[in-house]
Amino acid sequence: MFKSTKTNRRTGENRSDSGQAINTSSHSLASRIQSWRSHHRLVAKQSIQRLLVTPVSSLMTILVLAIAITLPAALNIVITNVAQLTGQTNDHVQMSLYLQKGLSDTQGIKLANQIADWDNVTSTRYVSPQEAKDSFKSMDGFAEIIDNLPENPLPGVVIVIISEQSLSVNDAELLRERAAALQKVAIAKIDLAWLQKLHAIIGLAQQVAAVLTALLAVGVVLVVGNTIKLAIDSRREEIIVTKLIGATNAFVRRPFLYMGLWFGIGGALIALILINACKYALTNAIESLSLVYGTDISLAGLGFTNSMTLVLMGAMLGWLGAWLAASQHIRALEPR
Amino acid sequence: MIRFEGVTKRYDSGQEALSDVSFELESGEMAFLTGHSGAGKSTLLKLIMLMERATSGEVWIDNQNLAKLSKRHIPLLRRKMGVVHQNHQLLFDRSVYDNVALPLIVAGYHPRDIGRRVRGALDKVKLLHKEKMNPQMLSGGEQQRIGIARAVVNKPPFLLADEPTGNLDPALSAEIMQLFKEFNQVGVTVLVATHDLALIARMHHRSLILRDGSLIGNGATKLAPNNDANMDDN
Repeated sequence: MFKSTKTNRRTGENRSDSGQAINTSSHSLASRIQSWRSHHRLVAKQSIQRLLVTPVSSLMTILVLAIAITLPAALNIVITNVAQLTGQTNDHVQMSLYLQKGLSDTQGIKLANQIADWDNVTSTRYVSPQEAKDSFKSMDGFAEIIDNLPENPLPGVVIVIISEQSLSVNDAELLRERAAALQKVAIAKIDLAWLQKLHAIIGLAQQVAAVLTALLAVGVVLVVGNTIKLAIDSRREEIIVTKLIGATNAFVRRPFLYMGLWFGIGGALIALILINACKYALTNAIESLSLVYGTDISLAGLGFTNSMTLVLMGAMLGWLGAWLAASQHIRALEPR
Repeated sequence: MIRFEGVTKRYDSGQEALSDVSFELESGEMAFLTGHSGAGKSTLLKLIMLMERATSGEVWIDNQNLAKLSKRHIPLLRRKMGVVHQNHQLLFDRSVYDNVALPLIVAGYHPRDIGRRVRGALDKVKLLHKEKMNPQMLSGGEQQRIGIARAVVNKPPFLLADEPTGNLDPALSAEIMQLFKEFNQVGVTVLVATHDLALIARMHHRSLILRDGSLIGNGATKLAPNNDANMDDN
């Protein structure tokens, strides 16, 4: 069985002569790639089997990761829902321009057309005093009062619909000031206070969620890292022997990286289950809320893309935690 | 080819394990490395496997200066040499077969080739029928032979052994030495560290004698046993 040794050694010598890496095996690149792939498959399978050998402690780790992933994910869902809800009621921000008394309808329409060309303005509509009076009359109780008035007290109004996308609170205020400066406009009104507050609250919540997400992501990395460190410690001897036999650091690291990957994916999958269970539990409550308000409120869940993103993130964080632990601890484990 | 040129190894503790050692082992040669315990045998082997690096001097393997071998290339160097360790260094969490297959998996052999080579190596050490057992269930001699099978399974050009007969009875020792001899006959360069002087005397091979880290003998070993016996008394 050693017949080929001499030729192998010679090729080895030639390679080392030319400054290349020492290599005694003569197998081809294609078969190397194939065996590399089959080794990945094997390691992936073995690392799952290893997790299943200690099901309780593996499950504990995965649950910790799941909770760490669920918290920020759930918070982000809540924020998305709230933002969506306010988005629905706030499809368009309106500005009302009460015109000076005595302006004719023609002048009012002209002004409305003029303002429609402004930046950040979606559309405008002129409401004549007569029209305003009619709409008041159609309301219960107002008809008599209005009929009793000696003349129509209502001014013409230009209703300006502001495009929401470009609307920062500052932009809206600038727009209001610009309109108020017009001679024909008596009062320009835009109710920004509540909008300001809401935007501020959503903004704050988003920042809190971002900080929490970052913290818990670090938490996931640390938990996986620590678990992998323990796994490395328990396989110390094996690592040293494998290195003695000529294993590269990458080879030794591989099963631990897969282990981290499985932890991350497992944590994310359980998190998905938790999130959907919460959503299911809340569905009844949301439905009755929706009945009370007479609107169609539906709770947006994660959806397919976001679910996949969550699993991908879990996988990446698990892998990262394993990589950090493995590259640090495996390099230190040298045969002595 | 293994060549030492004025190699000195001083550990961080200040202890000098090897002092100015020079010798050359030709390709295909078989030699013994001997000396009392603590004379530097293990250190010398560790320098060849790059488990340690020389403090000064140069170690050459196949025209490659190990001092210039980057850390990244150490694994490739180690795949070139089969090593039989004193304490076997077997893994007890897997079967005999898996232990022997490890060097092939590490070197990226195709699964198709692995079975054939592992069984070939196990057959060589006459343990083919125990491939499915856990090495823990086997005797010391059998464990040593598994270690040998693992050392030669990827047909390395070098075979190093550190006290391979340390805990074995004379008959088993002779058997294992015979195995080394067979490997040498097919072209493997063999270096065996041992203090089993009677064994060395029987084998008629070159011996490198270490004493307190210095090479005091480097040649054919007809008289080595007596000299060594005296040396051990010192």
